[in-house]
Amino acid sequence: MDTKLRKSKPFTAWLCFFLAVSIITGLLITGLSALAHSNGNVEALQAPFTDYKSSSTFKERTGNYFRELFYLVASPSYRREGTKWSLDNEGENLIYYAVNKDSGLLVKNIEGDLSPISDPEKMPDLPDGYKYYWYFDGQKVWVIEDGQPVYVERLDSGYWGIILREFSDKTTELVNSEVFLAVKDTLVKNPYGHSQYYEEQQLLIVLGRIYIALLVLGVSLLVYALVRRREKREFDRKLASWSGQMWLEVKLLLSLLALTLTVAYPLMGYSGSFEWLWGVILVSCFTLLGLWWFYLMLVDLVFNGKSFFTHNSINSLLTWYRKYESRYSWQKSMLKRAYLLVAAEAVMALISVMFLMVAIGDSSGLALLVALLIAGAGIYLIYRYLKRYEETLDNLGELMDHIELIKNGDMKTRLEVPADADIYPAAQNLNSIQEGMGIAVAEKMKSERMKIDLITNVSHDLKTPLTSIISYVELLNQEEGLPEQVNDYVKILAQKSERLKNLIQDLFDLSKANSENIALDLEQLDLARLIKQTLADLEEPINDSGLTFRLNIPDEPVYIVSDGKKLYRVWENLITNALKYSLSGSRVFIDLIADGESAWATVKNTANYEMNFSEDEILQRFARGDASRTSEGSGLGLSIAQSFTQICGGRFSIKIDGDLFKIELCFKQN
Amino acid sequence: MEKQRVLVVDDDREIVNAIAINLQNEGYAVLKAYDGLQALDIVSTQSVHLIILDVMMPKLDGLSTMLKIRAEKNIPIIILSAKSEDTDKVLGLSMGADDYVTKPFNSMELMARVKSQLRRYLSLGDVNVQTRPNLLKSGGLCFDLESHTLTVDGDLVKLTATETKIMELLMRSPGRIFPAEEIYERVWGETAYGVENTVMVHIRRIREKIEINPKEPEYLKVVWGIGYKIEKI
Repeated sequence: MDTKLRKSKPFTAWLCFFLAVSIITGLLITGLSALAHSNGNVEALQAPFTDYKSSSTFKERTGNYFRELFYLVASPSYRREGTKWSLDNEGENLIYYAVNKDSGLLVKNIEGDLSPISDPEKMPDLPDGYKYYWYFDGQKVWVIEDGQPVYVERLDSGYWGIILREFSDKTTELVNSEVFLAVKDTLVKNPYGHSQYYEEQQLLIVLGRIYIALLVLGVSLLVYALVRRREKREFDRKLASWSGQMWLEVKLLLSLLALTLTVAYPLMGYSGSFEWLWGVILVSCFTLLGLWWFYLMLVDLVFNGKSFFTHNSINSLLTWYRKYESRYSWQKSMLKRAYLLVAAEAVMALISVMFLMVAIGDSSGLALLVALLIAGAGIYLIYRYLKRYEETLDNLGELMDHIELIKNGDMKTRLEVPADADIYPAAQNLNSIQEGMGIAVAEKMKSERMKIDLITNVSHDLKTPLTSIISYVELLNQEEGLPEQVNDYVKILAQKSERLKNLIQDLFDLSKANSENIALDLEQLDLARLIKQTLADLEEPINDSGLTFRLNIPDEPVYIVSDGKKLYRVWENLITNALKYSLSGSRVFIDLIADGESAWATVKNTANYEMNFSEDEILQRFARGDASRTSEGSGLGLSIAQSFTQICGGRFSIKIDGDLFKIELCFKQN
Repeated sequence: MEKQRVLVVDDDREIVNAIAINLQNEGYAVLKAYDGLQALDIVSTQSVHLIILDVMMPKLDGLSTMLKIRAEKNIPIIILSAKSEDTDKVLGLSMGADDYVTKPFNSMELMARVKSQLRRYLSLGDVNVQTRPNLLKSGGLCFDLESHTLTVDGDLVKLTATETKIMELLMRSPGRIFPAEEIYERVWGETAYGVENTVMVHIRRIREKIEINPKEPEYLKVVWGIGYKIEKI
C-alpha cells in the first residue's frame, strides 16, 4: 500500500505541493526572523546581495577603529596596547597614522611620516591598493574614496551618525591632531575585524544563492502542484479519509497543541536561552508543523463535512453500545437501555452532589463548575434518551401504518426507516415480506390472466369450426328426401353440436367469473321479485317436470344491491339444477328470509340419485353425480352459480344430508 | 323486382358458403369476400344492400372495415363474431353496426335478422320516413295509437287485447321500468297480488311474436329484480 501510494501520481503532486509550501514558508519565516533579529534593519536582508564595503557594518567598524585612534592620541592614559592590538590584528588590511602635536603622541603602522597632509582630497603617498581612507585634520573628518570625498553629512550616507559620535567628547583636545586610517581594497583573510565580517559576508552570499535557489525551487514546485491540482486533490481525499478516523476530541487537542507551538512559542521563545539560529529553526519547524496540521484539518473539514464533527467519542460510544445491544432481543435491549440510563443518572447525580459539597468550601468555583458540567451532561443524556424514545415510537407508528398499507394491497411503497433506528431490522423484514408478496401476487395475477387469455382464445378457436358444423347440420336438416336413418343421424348431430356450443359458452363464462375481472352492473333490486320472475320465466319446464315448488317468499320487497343479470343466471342455474336432479313427484322448497341486514335464500330438493360425493366435490368444475353423466348440460351450472354469487357479493354454500340437497345463498342488505 | 344483394365477409370460406346457401334459398343475391380489403373493393365498385361482416380477419379486421364503409355509406351491417361478451357487443354497435350476431349462430335467426334489417333500411329507414304524432316507435317496433296495432319492421303483429294494452302501456314510456303490479293494475284494472306469473306469461307470449330470438330479446326486456320495459332505441 505504502509503496504503491508513493509511486502514484496523486502522491507526487501532493508531495510537490507540500515541499513548495514548506520551502516558501520556511524562507518567509527565516527572512522575517532575520529581520526581527536585526531590529527591523532591512539592510540585514540585503547583506548577501550588497558589497561589504558599502554596508553600514563596514562603515561602523571602520568608524570604531577611527575612534580608537582618536582615543589613542587624545589621552596618554588610555589602554594603548590592548587597543592597538585590535588594530594590529587587522594586519595589512589597515594602514593608520595618528599624531597629537601638543603631546607628541604618535601611533602608526607605516614607515615614515604622513604629516602633514595639506590637502585631504589629494591622495597621500600610500602603498597600492588603499583607495579608501578616513582623515581628521583637527577640524573635520573626511572620508575619501578613490580620491573623492564622500558625503558624510548626508543622513542616507550612513556616515552621519558615526561621524557625530567621533566628535562627541574629545574634539577640543584634538585641535592639533591628525588621524588617518586607510582600508585595503581587497581584504586579506584573517579571523579578526573586517576580515571576519568579510568572511561572514562571503558565507552570506552563498546563503543568499541557496535562498534564491530554494525560492525558485519552491515556486516551480508550487506551479507544478497547481497544474496537477486534481491529482493533489486526490491525495487530499486520502488524507481526509485517514484523518477522518480520528475522533473530534483528539483533533481538538492536537489543534490546541499545534496552536500553542506555533503561536505561543515564538511569542515567548526569544527570551529563552536558545541561540538565535536554533530559535529560528525551531520556530520554522513548529510553524510548519502547525501549518500542515491545520491544512489537514481544513482538508478533513472540506471532504468529510458533517462527519468531521459527528465522529467523536460520544457517537463512537453510542455506536459501540448499539452493536452491543444488537446481541440481545429487541425487548431486552430496550429494557437494558432504560436500566443503563437510570444507573448512569444515579452515578452522575452522586458525583455531582459530591462536587457540590466540595464546592461549599472551595472559593475558586472549580468544583461548582465540575458539578454543573456533570449535571448538564446528565440532563443531556436524558434528553438524548427521550428523543431516541420518541423516534422509536414514531417508527413503530410508521411500521403499523405500513402493515395496514400492505393489508390493503399496496405492494409497492417501501417503508423507509433510518439505518440506525431501533426497528430497522423489523422494517427491513417487513419490506422483504412485502416484496415477496408483491411478486407472488403479480405472478398469480399474471397466471390468471394467461389462463383467461388461453380459455378466451381456445373458446374463440372452438367456435369457428363449430359455426361451420352447426351451419351445415342445419343445411342438412333442410334437405328433403334423405333416408329415414340419415335424418336421425342429423338430429343427433344437431343436438350434440348445440350442447357443445352451450358447453363452450359456460366454460368461457365460468373462467371469466373466476378471473374476478368481470364488469358488474350494480343496482338496487328486489331479490324476492327476482326469484319470482325467474320462476315465471321457467314456468314451462317447471310445469313439465311434474315437481311441486313450495315457495316461502315474502310479499314485501327484499332489497339488495347486486347485478340483476348475473343473479338471474344464478337462479336459472339453481332451478334448472333442481329440475334435472330431483326425484320425480317430489317437492322443491324455495325460502327467502330477510332481517334488514342480511337476506338468506335456500333451495332444497330431494336427489333422484345417491349423492356419493362431498359438498366440495360437487363444486369442482365438471363434477357431477355419476348417474347423470349422460344428461344434458355442461355440468358447470353450480360452479357458475357459485362464482356469480360470489362476484355479486354473496355467499354460496351447499349441504348434503342423505338425499336432501340444500343450497344456501346469503346477501348483505343495505 | 331486382334481387337484393348481400355481401358476406368472413375469412372462413365454409362459413361464407353456408351463409350464402341460406341467403340464396331466401332469394337474395350473394357477394363473397374473404378479408376486409376485398370487402372494401366490392362495396366501392358494386351496389350492396347489406353486409354480414366477421370481426377477426386477416389484412383488415371487421371493425376497421366497418369504420371505412361507414365513412361513405349507410348500408346496414350485421357483425358476425365469436366474441360473445357484452362489452364486445356494445363496442360493435357503438362503432356503427346495426346488429350483432355471435358465432355459432342459428341460420334461421340470422336470416330473420337480415330480413329485418333490409326491411328497415329499404322500406322504413331511408325510403319513406313518416312521423305521425299518434305513432309510438322504438327501432323497428311501431305502435299505432289510432288503430291500436303493432308492426315490427312494417309487418303487422297479431296481439290479443291484453297484449295490446300491455304494449301500449310500455310503448308510451320507452326505457321506463314497470313493476308487474303496476302493469297488472293498469291493464287489468284490479288490485295486484301475486301477479308476477300472470304478467310474465303475457310478456313471454308478446316476445315470441315480436322478437327474432325470444331468449335474447331486442325490444321487450326483463329487468331482473325490478320489472319490465321496452328498450328505447
